[in-house]
Amino acid sequence: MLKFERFTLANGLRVLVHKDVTTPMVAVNVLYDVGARDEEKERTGFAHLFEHLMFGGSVNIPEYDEPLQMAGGENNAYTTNDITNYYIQLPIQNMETAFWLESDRMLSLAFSEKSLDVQRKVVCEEFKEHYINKPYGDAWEHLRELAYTVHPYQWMTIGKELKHIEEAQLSDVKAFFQKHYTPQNAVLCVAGNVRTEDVKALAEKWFGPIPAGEKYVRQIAEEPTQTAARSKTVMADVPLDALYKAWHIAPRLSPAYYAADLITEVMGSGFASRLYQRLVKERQLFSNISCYHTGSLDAGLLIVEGKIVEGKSIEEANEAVEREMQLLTEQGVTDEELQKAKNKIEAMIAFEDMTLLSRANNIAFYELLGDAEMINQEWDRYQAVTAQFLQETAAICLRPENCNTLFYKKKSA
Amino acid sequence: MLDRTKAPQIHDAVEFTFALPPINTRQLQNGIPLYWLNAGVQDVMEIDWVFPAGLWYEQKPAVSGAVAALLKNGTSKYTAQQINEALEFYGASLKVNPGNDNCTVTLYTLTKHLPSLLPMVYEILTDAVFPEEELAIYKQNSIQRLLVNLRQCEFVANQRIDALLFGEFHPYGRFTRKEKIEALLREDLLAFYNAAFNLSNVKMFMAGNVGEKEVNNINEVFGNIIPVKAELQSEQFSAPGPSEKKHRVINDEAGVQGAIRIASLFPNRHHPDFAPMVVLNTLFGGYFGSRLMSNIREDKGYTYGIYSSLAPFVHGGSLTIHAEVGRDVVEPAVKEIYHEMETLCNEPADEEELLLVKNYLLGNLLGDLDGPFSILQRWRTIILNGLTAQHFDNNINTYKNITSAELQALAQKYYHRDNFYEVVVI
Repeated sequence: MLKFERFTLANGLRVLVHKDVTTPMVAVNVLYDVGARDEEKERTGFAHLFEHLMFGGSVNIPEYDEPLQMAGGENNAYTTNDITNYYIQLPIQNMETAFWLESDRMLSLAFSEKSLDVQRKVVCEEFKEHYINKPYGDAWEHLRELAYTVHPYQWMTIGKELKHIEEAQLSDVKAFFQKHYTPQNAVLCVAGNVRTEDVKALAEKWFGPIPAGEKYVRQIAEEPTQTAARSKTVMADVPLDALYKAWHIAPRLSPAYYAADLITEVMGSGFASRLYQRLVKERQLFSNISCYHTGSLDAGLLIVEGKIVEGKSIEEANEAVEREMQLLTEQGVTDEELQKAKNKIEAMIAFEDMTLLSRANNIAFYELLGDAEMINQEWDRYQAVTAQFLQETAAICLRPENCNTLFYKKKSA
Repeated sequence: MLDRTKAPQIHDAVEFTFALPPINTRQLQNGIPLYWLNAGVQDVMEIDWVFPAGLWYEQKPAVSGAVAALLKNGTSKYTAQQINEALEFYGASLKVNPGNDNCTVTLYTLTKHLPSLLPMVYEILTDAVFPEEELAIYKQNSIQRLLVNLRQCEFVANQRIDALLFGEFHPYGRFTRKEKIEALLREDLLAFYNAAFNLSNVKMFMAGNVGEKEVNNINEVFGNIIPVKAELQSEQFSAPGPSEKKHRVINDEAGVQGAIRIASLFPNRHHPDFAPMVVLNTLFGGYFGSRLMSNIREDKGYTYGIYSSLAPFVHGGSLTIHAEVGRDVVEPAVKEIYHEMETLCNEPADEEELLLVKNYLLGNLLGDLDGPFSILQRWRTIILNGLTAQHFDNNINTYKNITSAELQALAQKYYHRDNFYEVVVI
């Protein structure tokens, strides 16, 4: 049970305070309600490029990192298809430094051509390192395009193509900032041995004067229900064939989301999971296999991916996966399997709660979803999933016509 | 009116006091040492069994990795499936990490499930049988994984640089090849397991929401066996002969990046230069504000990230600079790396930068002393290296008090271009 207090500033910034008297550190987490799903189709990769620019100095502070490091702090940030999150951990004595830095870059960035130019290059190298210069690195690009016809989840956070990043202009970047980086679109969470009134005073002092800005109202086309199976074959210079399958699942707050999460535990998490045991160990069709989901806020994807054992047929491997999914749909899970999946979730929640940063991040995240209190209801939501509901969810989600299959094949020499 | 150009007053981390929370030392009734500490609020725990079962003790290449991978895949009573089921049912994970010197088996679990898990861990650690069919699957799948890894420039660069530093036949320098995996026999695995995974050589560590109850539980399960002392074999390895220092490898004609590794040998934690080098290395390439990162990423945009790091082992160690950079800027990046080394040799760091590095290093260390698993990690390093808590205090002292002049002298001692091996793999 995580405890917290909250208040909202006049400009709309939501602030949460989580007290932990055992730690000498404080975590300051600023979550912005903007991700790759808020980008335009012709200008992808912006939310993430922007995350880089947030470290290029702000209106009153030329260097972001230096003063933070001087204060004994460490920070980083990440961007997903849904959100952008910035976090700091530093000794509690220097907490105000974090307020000073974070509020100034929410107020306004010091946009410079030089900073944009360098970060464009850095992001292009990140793109190359993770998605081009790696075998199977572009699999997700194909899979997203296949699975989403209208929803902006059809592109990766890094961007659809290098060109979009290379062509980013300073004016685009400024417009993006004004639209999304406002107090109304952000959640601040402070965790550590702090008193709410002290956090409130600091928040008023540093974030209070920032203009509220305009409320961004998200308008994203919902992905229509898929009615026919889709597949795509890619030939590439890779050592082994690989199979990727994606089924649409329910949005983050739906009860079916929790059932889908448990399905991935049963099917493909760990050496005792069904897919691993049957397809890697018994039938030896795959050299590795995993089943997981994208954890998206809008309707996401349940994924099965694996590499095919050399000499085995990818078509046979695909049929075997489909057969396992069908078995789950037809027969459901045993009580023991369901209990195991729930036990894993219970342990995962406890281990995640160990670190201060993770607690600060999660509290902010649930507040963004609508109510931070939901963090304490997560376990109940998993508990509420019965074997029958899991099977019903499987029947809806794992329908063959809801499936997207990517055959990633080795180009013959 | 709020003046946002003025930074709030800070407290320098160099002024803080740092105390490593104490650890309890206990011998099980058969003499197995158990080091443990209670910390944290969540009902979670970690236990490590550390065996001298790393690459150093291998008599045949690739054996330690195979034993680690197959440790959980069958005992005389249970199949791999039964073992994994028994562990995963409780949401626990048992990880086996083979290293250069040791192999560490780590159990993470909710504390309440410990009694249900310990007997199975005991089975695994005393009665693994390495079934032939499990070995066959392992060989097939690890060769496939190797094939994929060999297509990645950073993987190949890591292999090459270690081989250059330590020599291709040295345990720290030799790397996995397909033929070595193919040549593995069940007897090799059993022989290594019997010699190295012997409870007479184990050290146990435990942290989390734990107390006497858990200690007693461990004693009941692990304290009754009378371990038969096994003598570990190991050889002495001489340094590699002189070889060409610069290597350029084209691993993928179509590659768009080059993996740069520039490295030299560097002593381990017992050497008096180690702690000072932690500070110099941080300044040079150990954090986001480092010289390398500021120049090569933040000024020139050649890379997504560049770091230098120290890798201390029991029988030696290394200092390595690593980055993946755009193919067309490989040579300018290499040039800048040496340029930054030379600058550190030629000019003392100014006081402001030195204070920043110290505050950063110490501020992070404070964060690191927060949480049971990271405290245990510190203790494990101290105990496994035969050091004491005094060593921790000495290090803090060094981090707080080292001067620019000392760092410059250290740079002049170690940052010689001629000492470094250089590998770029595209």
